[in-house]
Amino acid sequence: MRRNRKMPKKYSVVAGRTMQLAAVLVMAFAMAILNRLASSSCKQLTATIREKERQLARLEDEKSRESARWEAMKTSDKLEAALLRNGLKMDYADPVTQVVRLRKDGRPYEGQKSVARAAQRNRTMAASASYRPSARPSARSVPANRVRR
Amino acid sequence: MPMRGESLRFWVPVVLLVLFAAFVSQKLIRAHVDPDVGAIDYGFTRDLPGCRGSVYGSFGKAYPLAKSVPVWEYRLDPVALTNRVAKPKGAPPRTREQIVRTIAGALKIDYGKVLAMAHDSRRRYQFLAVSSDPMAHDILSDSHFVVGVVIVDRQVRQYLHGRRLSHVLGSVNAENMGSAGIEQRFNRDLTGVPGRIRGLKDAHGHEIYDRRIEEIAPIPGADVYLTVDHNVQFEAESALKWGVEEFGAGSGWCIVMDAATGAVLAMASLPDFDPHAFGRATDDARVNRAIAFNYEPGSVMKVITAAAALDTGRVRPETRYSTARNDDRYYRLPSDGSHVWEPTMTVADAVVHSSNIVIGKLGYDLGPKCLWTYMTRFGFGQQTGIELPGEQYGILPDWKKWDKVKWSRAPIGQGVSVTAIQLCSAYQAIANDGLRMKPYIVDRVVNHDGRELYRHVPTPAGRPVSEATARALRNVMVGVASPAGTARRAAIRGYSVAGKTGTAQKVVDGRYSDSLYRATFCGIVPASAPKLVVLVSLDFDERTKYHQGGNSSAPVFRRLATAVLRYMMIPPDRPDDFADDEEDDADAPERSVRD
Repeated sequence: MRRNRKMPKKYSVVAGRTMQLAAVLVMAFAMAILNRLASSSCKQLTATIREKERQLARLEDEKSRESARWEAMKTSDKLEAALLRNGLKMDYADPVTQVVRLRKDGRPYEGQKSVARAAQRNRTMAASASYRPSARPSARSVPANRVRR
Repeated sequence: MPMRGESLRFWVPVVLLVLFAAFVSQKLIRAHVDPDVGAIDYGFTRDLPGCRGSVYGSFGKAYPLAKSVPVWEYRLDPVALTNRVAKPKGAPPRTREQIVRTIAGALKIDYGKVLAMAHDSRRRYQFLAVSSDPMAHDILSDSHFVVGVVIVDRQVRQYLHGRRLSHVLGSVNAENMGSAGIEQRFNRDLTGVPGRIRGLKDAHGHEIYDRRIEEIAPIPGADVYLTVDHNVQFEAESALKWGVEEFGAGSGWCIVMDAATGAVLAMASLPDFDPHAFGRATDDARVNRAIAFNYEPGSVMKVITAAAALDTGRVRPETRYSTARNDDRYYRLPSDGSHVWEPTMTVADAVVHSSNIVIGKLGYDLGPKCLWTYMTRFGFGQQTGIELPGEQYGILPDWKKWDKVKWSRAPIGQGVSVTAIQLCSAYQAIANDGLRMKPYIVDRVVNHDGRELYRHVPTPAGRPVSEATARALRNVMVGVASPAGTARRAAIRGYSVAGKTGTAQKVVDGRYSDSLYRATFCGIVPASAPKLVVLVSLDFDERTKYHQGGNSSAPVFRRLATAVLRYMMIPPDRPDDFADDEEDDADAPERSVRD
């Protein structure tokens, strides 16, 4: 009765299909889970990137504002006003204090402001206890052509 | 057919599921590929404004003159202030008055004013203030503490030196578009390219950040570098302001130009305006008189006549002319304003003493065509091409249209109109041994990645006179700033000054006024090796004692040129002047010198 022992065709088809369906569902579920995980991770990264972007933009804006504030403080008017507030007056050096007129033999003429000023400066520097020849004021700290009066 | 039924029961849902999945996935794929599909319902587009480029002086990035700064604009929404509740953690809800007091304190506005705005619920989003204070922003953006304040990110144009150089820099309007000066002329370069964001919003209207379809970053505008030195500009404006106040002038203008290249180191015009409030400035204050104002130059034009006469070889500096006005060979000679009277006068003395009669005769002898040709060669009657909007041409009619009156008056600077920049450019030619350079104020334009879009190379604009003529003329002009000349108050100890004064009568109701003048002095320093050309003009709206060029503009020139020479460390060409070592003070008004 071999024919009777054969499994009915409809049962085998259903069983096969069920396996396939289960496999499809499992795969779909796995894909969905993976997608969800990837999406979640992506969202998290996106949020982090956006936050960093916002932070960068905020810091750049802050830098721009601060530099503008600093640059506005450096203008000639503001410097002049700040000096006046502190009782200082700055002017460009008078050429008369910079020009040394020499005789034919190389000696300077007497009574020149430039010579007197240089001598005074030498005396002041020599009298200063902290004076070291190598420790002269930096040329950058005070513009060479500006002197305090 | 049971088998077919079972099969159908399985395959139909599967096929439908697949079709649905295909449809959804296709929609999603298309949404990514074609942004229009995604943008049907929840799409949005937002423009990102490009940061406007900066304007720098000759010192470069260390000292910007104009730059855009991000700020916050605060607006008050009375409806939101009423409807929403501000409740700090662990504290009772804040009252409207408390919130208003916080807003007023943070933005430093009057409390009563903000309270009145808060009560006016018919007007939503009322302007409160623009501020760059981060502390105020932190306070007002905390929704647990303050409600009803709308914050808008904005960029405002800051002119860091305030009113200084306002006519050159110009201004921008509410849309951040240049409306005057460099801002207007270089608006396209400064503006840059705006960026754009296209993406999706959720049902609440919030942007879904991972659904951005398109994101184009804005390209910042290019930076414009001027030839203007802000320290020279400071000295120029300070000296001009002093001159206008000291001598009672209604307005004034001055230019400091590099003698070798034609680069403008400073340009000032009074009255000026606040570039942050350009809309509130009067029409009068908006005019850059250094380039956009035609005026009769007066005696400063005599140098051009003398240059033409010397260059043609008709005369030499020592050639003598009679100072008699009643000469039949000449038509209606102008009366002589010279303060020195001699029966005859050399051409050099005519320039030094500003003799109308002798220079008038010189011009008459040259003829209108020759005179007009030389004036044109010196750049009069045409734009100089400086990179500023609104430059005038001056008024120099064709010589064929000159009648005999104009023929006799044009040599002394009447009947023709010039701009200050033209005059300065003409004197620059004399300073530069006869070679006139095109005046310029923009050195270069550099885009955001450091590439130069434009760089000005000093360009010759012609040689109106020979080198020998220019040198001879400079030697003659040195006498003007000598004790014998009309501008002794322009003399600078240690430096030789070559210049010329001009006192032009203003035209009132079609007639020359006897009481209103424009006083000009244009000088070249040091005359032996010219470095600077400085022009100063003062415009008098009322009769004053010091309306002459030698009495008003010359001291301003002296004050300005002295500071600039020291600042630029230009060595004195007359060190022997220091031998007497006496302090000089020639700024104080002294005897009237007729021009």
